[in-house]
Amino acid sequence: MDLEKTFPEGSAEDLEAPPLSLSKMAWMRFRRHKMAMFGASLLLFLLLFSFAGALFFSEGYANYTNTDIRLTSPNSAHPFGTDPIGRDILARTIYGGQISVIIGLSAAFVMVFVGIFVGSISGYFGGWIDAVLMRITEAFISIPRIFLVLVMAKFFSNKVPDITIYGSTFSGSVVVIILIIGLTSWMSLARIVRAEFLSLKENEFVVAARSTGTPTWQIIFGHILPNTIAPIIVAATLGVASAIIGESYISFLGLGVQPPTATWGNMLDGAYQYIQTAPWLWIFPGGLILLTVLSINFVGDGLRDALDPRSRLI
Amino acid sequence: MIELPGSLSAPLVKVDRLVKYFTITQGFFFQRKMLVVRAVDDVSFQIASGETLGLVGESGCGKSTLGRTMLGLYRATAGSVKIDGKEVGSSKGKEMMEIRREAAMIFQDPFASLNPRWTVNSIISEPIRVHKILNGKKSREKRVAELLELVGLSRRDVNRFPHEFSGGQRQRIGIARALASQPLFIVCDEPIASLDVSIQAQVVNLLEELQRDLGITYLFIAHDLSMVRHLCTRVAVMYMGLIMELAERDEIYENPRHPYTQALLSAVPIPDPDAARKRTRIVLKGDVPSLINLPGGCRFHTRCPIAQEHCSLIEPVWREIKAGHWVYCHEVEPKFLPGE
Amino acid sequence: MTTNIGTLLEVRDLNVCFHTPEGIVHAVNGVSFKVLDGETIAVVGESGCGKSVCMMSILGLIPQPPGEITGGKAYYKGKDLLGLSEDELAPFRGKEIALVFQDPMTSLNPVLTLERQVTEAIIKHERLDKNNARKKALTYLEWVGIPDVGRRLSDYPHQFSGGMRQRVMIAMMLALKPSLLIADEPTTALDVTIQAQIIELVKEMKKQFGMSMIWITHDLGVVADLAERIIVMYAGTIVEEAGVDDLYKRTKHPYTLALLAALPRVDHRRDVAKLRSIRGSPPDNLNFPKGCPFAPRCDYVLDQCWTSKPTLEYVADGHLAACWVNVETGKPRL
Repeated sequence: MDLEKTFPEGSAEDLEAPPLSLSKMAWMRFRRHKMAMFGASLLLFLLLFSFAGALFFSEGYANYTNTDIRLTSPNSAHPFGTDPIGRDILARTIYGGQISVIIGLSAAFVMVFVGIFVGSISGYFGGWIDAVLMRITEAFISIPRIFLVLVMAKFFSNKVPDITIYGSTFSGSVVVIILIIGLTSWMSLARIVRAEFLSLKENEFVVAARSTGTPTWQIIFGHILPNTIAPIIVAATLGVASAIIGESYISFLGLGVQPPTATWGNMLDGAYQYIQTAPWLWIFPGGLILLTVLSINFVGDGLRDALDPRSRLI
Repeated sequence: MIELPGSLSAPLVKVDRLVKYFTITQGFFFQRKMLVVRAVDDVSFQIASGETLGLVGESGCGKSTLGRTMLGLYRATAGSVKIDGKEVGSSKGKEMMEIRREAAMIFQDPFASLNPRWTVNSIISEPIRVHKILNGKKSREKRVAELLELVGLSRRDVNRFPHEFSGGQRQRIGIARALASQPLFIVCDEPIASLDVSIQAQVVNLLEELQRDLGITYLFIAHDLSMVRHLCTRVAVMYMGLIMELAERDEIYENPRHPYTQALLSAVPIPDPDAARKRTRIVLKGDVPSLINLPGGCRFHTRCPIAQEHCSLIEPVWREIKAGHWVYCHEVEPKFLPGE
Repeated sequence: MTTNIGTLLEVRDLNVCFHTPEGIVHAVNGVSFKVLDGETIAVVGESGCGKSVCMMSILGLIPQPPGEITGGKAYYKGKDLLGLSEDELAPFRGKEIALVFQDPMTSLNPVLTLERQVTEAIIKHERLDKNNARKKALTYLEWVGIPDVGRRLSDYPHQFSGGMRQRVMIAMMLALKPSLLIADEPTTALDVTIQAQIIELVKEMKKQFGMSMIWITHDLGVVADLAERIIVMYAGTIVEEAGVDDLYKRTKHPYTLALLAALPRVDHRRDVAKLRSIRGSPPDNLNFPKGCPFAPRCDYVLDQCWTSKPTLEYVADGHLAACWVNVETGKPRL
């Protein structure tokens, strides 16, 4: 066959616009978003604080109690002051940051996993499967979160052992918290994923895959799911922020991670009685929570704009 | 030139009394109504190996639904479809996969029919993977490169994404994907409707070359009657879920017997001022009725210029009025010339 | 600036561009044409050739930014529309120059009933009271062939089919009685039998009301029956302009020739082994090459076509083409 005569359009390289992959375009759009870039830098700084900061203080030091210097306000030896039993707050916020971030990321992971699973199956199959899964989702939404938290805390307490990863020991209560937050916040993502599936499954590339004979699970996870990445990433990012807040108030209720492991949340709990007398007890952990959540939200905003499928082709 | 196919005694595709209804529910709670959309309402025809059957009709006539039901993408409400001897509606497992391998589809929208997150390589190799035609990434990639060149694209484009291509190029990628499983039969669902005129010609020429070289059978669904005349060997005209007329290509364009076909043909624009002026347009009255509340009797009678009283009461019979020329109309007399 | 008697609209050297993140898109490059009183012209071209942008900018409907009219004049009844502000343009829109789009859903208000929309247009332009306006609305809607008008007056646009909505738009035209009607792909989205109905209706309207019309389309079949003169556009410029018979039978530009050769015929037996397709891809509006924009795809290309852009000139009586080559001989035109 004479290619030139019959199909003369040439290859994509002849098109003027340089081929940009979808992630490159998204990154370009993200960079234009000033708040998002600011949030990303702040987040980077906070992560460095928590993880690189551990190089300066050992965990033992963070948990070292010295009742002689209890409740001292910020000074040169203890830049963030000391807590009611003499532990250095700076070191505790560093390690607390690690835990809070780990809890945030892991809880978000649980949330995304369950949300995707429920949403995709519900959205793709419809019918009674959808009905049952949606009723379950609605049940989770309708029950007040505090109630779920209390019930799950009771259920899981003392049932989960401490785990050791990479040489550091995490108390079982950390895993409990992760499960509690994750299992009480997947619902909105499930609905989002379901809505995406409902609309995407009518798209012609899905019909094309069906006419090819592609097995259903490959269609769900190989074809449709990658096209729902944008809202999932945004939801996951914001999920980390809400998990960090969630941890703080669960710990504030005394149901969260138990001391001596420090988290920003249980540090706030410990500050409750000293709100006016020793404000440094809550200003530092509270401020760090605030900054982290704020920066995650900025990044989430930027991601949402950058990944907006409507403007995919600039 | 495409020659007329051999006898239809062993057709590749056999559609027998195919019906596809959709039910939609309206209203909440107490005013719930179940409405039936009779998209395909008892259709029968055959396609011989190597031929191109054109299926034309206006929007809403059911031609797209018919194409998809034939491939089992919708479950038929009644009737049967046999592709290469296998029954589409009742096949399962291995047999169904055979059908999926032997029958492929090309879609109208070059933007929506390719997964925007997949590379061209993944898109085209999907049928090869799914049907296990070639094992091993390298051999599949090689085959994808061959297919790309077959449709006139460069093998360098293998790792690009759909959005980097123009509409016409994307349509070619869709064609390459359809060819990947080495099918016997391809349903082309309005493949050129979204393309510019100059690109339409390229794609149609490509489809013909592929048919000549690979012996593929086509069902060409379209609303562009001029292009259908160029490309197809036989043509079926559809209206409101039924085929109104079916005949060999030149016969139906030169001797249309059904009033709807005649009106349709007279409405097609002709890029020639003299011919356009000489031609008389048969203008149909009114609008297309809804597929939910079909008119009684012959469903075309509300717009038919030659409708008689009985047309609103009795449904016509689908009959062969001349060798190979079928019509669904009361008012058309069979005309068998001596010797047929 | 001279006003020819009988010239309703004269566009001179119109240039429109768009500022995009990738660069400047030159949508319209030096377009000039005239529309006489009572004349119907068709503007034909494929997507991206600038035909819509050209007409929309005459009425000031191109958002500036990102669009920009960088030059040219558009004299309507002697007045340059391009120099007018939004307020000054308002009386021209609708009453003098009316626009019909491909999908009338965009011009009909979805939350108002038919009755309200048509009677409001009548009240505004014919200054009748409500009752008389309603009676007039009924006559117009009947004239365009809306069945069961009395009952359908209280329906909303979404309850009508595409073809019906276009008829409603035409009824509104009757109320507005513009001197110039610009129709941008009005039948492209319609079925072929409905398209035929609308075309017959428009022809009837022309006969009765004598308005001038600009019909924008990509379909060379539709305009063969409808227009008196045809303008063919490519890459933002006019490449050929001629009376309808001349354009189809004595084509002078390679692009028009190629377009016509790519069209199959419903009334002919197939007589070609392959449809003539145009090689290459549509022009990139960001980077115009030097010389004739059609050169990369042209069957008649000569050396000079690559270096200098041809101007639109008379090549026969009433027939303009922008091409260095005489397509009948293949040699340069002198």
